[in-house]
Amino acid sequence: MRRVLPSLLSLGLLAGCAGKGGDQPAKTGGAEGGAMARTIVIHNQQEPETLNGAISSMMATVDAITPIMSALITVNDKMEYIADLAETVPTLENKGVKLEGKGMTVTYKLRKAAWHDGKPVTSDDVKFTWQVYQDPAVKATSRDGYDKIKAIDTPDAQTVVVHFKEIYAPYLGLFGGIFPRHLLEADLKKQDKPGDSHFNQSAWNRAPVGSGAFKFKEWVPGDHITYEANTAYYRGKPKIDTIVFKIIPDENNAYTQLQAGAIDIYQSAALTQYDQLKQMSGVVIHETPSLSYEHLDFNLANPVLADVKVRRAISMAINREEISAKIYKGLYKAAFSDQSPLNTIYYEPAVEKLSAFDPEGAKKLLDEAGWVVGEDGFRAKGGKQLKLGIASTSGRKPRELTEQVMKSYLKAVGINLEINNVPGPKLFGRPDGLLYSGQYDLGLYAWVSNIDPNNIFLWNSKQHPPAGQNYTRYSNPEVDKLTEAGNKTVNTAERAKIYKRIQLLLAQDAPMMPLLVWTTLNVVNQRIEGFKPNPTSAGNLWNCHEWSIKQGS
Amino acid sequence: MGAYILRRLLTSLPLLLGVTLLLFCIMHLMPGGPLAAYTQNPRVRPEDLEKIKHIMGLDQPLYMQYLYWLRSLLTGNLGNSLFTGQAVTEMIASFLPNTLVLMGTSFIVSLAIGVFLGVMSAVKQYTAFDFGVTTFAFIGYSLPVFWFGVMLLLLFAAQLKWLPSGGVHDLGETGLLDLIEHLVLPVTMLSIVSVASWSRYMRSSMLEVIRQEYVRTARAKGLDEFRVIGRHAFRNALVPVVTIIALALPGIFGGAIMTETIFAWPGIGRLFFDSLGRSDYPVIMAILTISAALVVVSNILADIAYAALDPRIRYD
Repeated sequence: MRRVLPSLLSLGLLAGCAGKGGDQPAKTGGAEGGAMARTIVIHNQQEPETLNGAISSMMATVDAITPIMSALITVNDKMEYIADLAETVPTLENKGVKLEGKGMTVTYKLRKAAWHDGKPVTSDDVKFTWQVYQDPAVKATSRDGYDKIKAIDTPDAQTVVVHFKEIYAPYLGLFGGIFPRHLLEADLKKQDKPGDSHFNQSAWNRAPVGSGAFKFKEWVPGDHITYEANTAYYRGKPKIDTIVFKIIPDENNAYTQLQAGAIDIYQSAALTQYDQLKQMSGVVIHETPSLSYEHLDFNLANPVLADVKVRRAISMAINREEISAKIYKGLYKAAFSDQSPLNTIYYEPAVEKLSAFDPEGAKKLLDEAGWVVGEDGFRAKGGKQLKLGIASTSGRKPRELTEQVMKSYLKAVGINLEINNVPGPKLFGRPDGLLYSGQYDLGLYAWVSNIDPNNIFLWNSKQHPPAGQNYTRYSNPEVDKLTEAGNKTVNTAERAKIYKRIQLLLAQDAPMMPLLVWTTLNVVNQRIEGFKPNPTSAGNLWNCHEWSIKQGS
Repeated sequence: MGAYILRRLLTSLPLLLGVTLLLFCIMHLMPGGPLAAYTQNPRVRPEDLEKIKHIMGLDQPLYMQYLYWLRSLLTGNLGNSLFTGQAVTEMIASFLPNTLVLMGTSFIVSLAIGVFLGVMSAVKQYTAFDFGVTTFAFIGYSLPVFWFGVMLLLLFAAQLKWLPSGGVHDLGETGLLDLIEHLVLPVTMLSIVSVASWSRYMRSSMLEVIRQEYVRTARAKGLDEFRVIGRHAFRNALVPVVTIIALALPGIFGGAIMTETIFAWPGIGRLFFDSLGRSDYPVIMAILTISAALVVVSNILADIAYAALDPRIRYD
């Protein structure tokens, strides 16, 4: 559930109202005067379900916990790993990572840091965090990676030695939020009912004591969450006093509050508001490429789509640039790979030429595949028309428009496309979801890529449902080998070769057509300095301890 | 009367039980289920999902899940949310006051204005006033409320800046005046439809009554018009309107999803909508069951009110 209401701003009647929105946003908390002057109010469309990152299913949680929690390693806005609680990023080169036979060892040195209650953060807390993810009674969203750890040694309070059972290349993505042993161990051991740890229901989850730049202050359900500066923060005292997350489900309301100065940062603004937002003065619009991308899945279990020529023909018949320009105001850019173009180490630019728009080429491929154009303009083979269904989430206007446009692109090359949209849960659910159960031909939805290129869950043939999320049922022995090798290769240059090769193979086999990379609009009051949007899971608040408010505003 | 109420309450228990069973079944027919929230995250692997499913108790057969829920209902605690981990009673308690304030205010405002306009336009039938009220009622009733709400927001909050755009209070404020400022727009949005429809009901019911013979008798006795209308006609005209109003009572608990969303009002409507979005079964069941119980209770209340208003109605 993203946007609750369709954007009403686009209604002609409102244009007059909204078009004049050029007023200078007022100062936040003006009524409070000096006391609130160093408060930054951030819009959140959804309320986090919990402030415990291990058990949350929502993206809203990630944003909300970044200011209060510490990660060993985090990611900056340029998609580089940077040290947070750890002193340095452990790599093969700096001897932080050592390969030992089949396994590997990663050593972290911790900075001197303290929990918000004053107790020191130690290596034992890192070990505890691993134990949390290992505990079967914890409702952990994902144990991926933590289950590859054999043991953790803590030779002293500042040193953590992590022993992996096998070589695990995405190791830097682990330990994104360290939990305090002294506050949570009792909850972890207590079971509310057999197999359900009290950790899942802990009071800490709604009033966490972390070690980040800000301390939890209050949470008014459905309304706002307030944090105040942690003056003892190990990476330097924050330059602002208070961060408030205001929960505003409706985008028109968010727009109004931004204009009124009641919020400073409008995160992930609606694309339909783009033109109005551009006219608003006193704010800066950050257009940031996202790691999410729209794509078209082909169900290879369908005998028609099992033919690579048909899949490639469909990919070549669809004009990404036109969809971008006409439906997404040019904000979403053409995508050609499952890896983000921002991920410069791993992205393979050569795929762009391989999957370019070419309707004539598409027709040729379909001819070769034996599909002959009939009198009605659609192709057929053996008396069967080339007819395919496309499924997406209903109620998302841009996707519905994209499907309409696709229908006409495909008609032009002789394919009859039938649109059958379903509500999100019916598409993604299990065991009855269309993707999971394989009851679809083409699926249009979005994936989120990661700073780590690991994509084994999408393309390895062992990951066909029910085992994994290879919804396309793609199977290529070389890709199988490469995706497995990729997770066992720690050397970055070697790893880059592997993932570039996978991208070329995917472009040839076309189990999926990448369509468009999302763009996130973050609109920020110009009095805020230091806001650097971050597309990774570190989120926009990754550097909130460096944010400041301009003098005189 | 006391025995009657008791009998009504007791007979409604099996009804409510049946309703909960029906709700439970319908809820489980919704596609997706609670695990769908996790499946868009590629890092969540099937083995992780299996563990989450087990902890949430979703691997139990459906009838067992219902019996567990029934047990939690009978012990008065309505279980824990699958996602927030909080007790459902605690969640409802934190959202309910806001909803009561919003819906209660709008109920009182709508009732006062609706009944007044209805009575007046019946008394002044076919005058300019009556036509004015009728026109207003037609417009008010046919307005798409979400559109009207957004218009209010953009005009009074964004453009004119007379009123705050959302929430219960400004940050750091707790005063009554601040609350009233925040109430104006959502209450207007909610009341416009109720005023429009209630004034119509009141008008037609009143028109029927003032043509009755006892009203003519009252006039013939020489009573002044105010007393005729206020005491003799009005009280009897209220009987059918009470039904309409009683039907609106459970809504005071349930909140208003649209209004609460547009005006960022943290109420039960939003809690319900969010819970529905992620199939948080215990929360959905709790809100629906309480609503169902309130429908039963307000029907009993309406019956009691009939007897109080019209001496001819008796329950033995």
